[in-house]
Amino acid sequence: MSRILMIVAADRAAPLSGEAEVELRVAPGIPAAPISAHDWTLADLAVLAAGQNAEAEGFSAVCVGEFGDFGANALRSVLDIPVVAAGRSAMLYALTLGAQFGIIAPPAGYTRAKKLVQEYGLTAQCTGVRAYAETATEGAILTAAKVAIEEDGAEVLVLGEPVSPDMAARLAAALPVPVVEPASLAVMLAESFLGLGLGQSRRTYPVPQARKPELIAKLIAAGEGA
Amino acid sequence: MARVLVIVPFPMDADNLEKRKAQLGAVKLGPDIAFDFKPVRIAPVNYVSQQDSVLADVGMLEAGLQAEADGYDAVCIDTVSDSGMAPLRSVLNIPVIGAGRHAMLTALMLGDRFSILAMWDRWRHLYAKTLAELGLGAKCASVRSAGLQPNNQSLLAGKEDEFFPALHEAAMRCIEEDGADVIILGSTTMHEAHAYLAARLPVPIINPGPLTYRLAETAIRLKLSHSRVTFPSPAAPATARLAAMGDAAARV
Repeated sequence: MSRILMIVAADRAAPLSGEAEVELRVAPGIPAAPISAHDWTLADLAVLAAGQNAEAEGFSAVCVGEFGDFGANALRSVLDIPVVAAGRSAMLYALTLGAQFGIIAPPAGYTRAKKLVQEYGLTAQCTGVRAYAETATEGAILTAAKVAIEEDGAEVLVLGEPVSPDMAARLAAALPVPVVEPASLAVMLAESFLGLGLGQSRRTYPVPQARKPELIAKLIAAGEGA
Repeated sequence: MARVLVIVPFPMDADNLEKRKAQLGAVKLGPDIAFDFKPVRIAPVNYVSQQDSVLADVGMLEAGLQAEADGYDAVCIDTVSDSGMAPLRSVLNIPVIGAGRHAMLTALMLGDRFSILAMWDRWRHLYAKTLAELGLGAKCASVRSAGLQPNNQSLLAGKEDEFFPALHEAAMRCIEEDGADVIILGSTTMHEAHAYLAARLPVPIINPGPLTYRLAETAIRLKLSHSRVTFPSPAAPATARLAAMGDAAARV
């Protein structure tokens, strides 16, 4: 059975897979609630460090399981196995289901989501990002989702932070549009890419002239507890 | 066991249908999923004009209208034109996977810009339509054709020595001259060239038919289907009228 590495910011249950063993790895050094470019830079480094040896460790694919796609592009440049970026994939997948998508996210995800929509060239296809409070109850998250649909015109909803499968199912049942949960989708797409022999393009993600795995690992180790 | 209906866009005999089914061999599928291939009864001769697109939409709609009632869990459209995808989505609640739309969006999961590799220029209008619908024209580096006459029944059989190198040359120009990061085969009828090209190109190349099988599986397992807001239901599906049209076409 193939092994898929899912890199996350905080411990949670790994998404289920019918074909692979999914191993969850919390990347040390991702700032809590990354809200600014400073935090994103540190998160990029943390995810790169956590996944840079995935191929040598025997993994068949890597999923960057946070919606923010931290470090995903860098991992793609150093790995030949498929690297799935949960946020990027979720937004593009949403467009297979409907013409325009909306995103709901906690405050820390709001600015990042706006940035990624712009970076991926999907501004015209995104109806907007609606934030809910960091400590929001499920009811408050549902309210944000309804605003995204009724006021912004979202035809598909993308969740900007991971939620449990049970909660994703409850949200989907309560809403009139499809709800895309990025982490579980990422695993399915990783399996699909493996089944099809597909991976990221070397033209978009060129290999560095000098790889620096030891330096990257030392930076993370030095930063721990500092 | 999940069951998926693959709608083949031309009427054809059993031998030629086998050439379509051979696409299943290009992908490793998950457990407990089966695919039935069904040719349409209503179809144009080929897909080179807007007349053809209308006939194709009607034919695909007629062929797939009962898929949900027949117990299928998803429908795959075996053409990059996505003919019939939107009307079928408006009447079916099960996922309907169009090879073209899904190939373009998947390409953007793998790289920044894609090119579409076609057999001939007469398919250009098909891609222009989907790119416009998606609003992703800027992500398409180019549509290039190899200037080859396609055959939607016998596919590439017997012409490999001439066609495969010509397709390879056109694909390399997409990459080197147009800046493509990912290549999409412009038709499911080109699937026999996929392995040859994948082994020789420096970028990923998407085989659109097999991709739909995996994405049907993804949609079924994640319990995801198209948005009813994007694809509203008709007041009254014309089930009897479409069936009568299918019967009439089969007699022509």
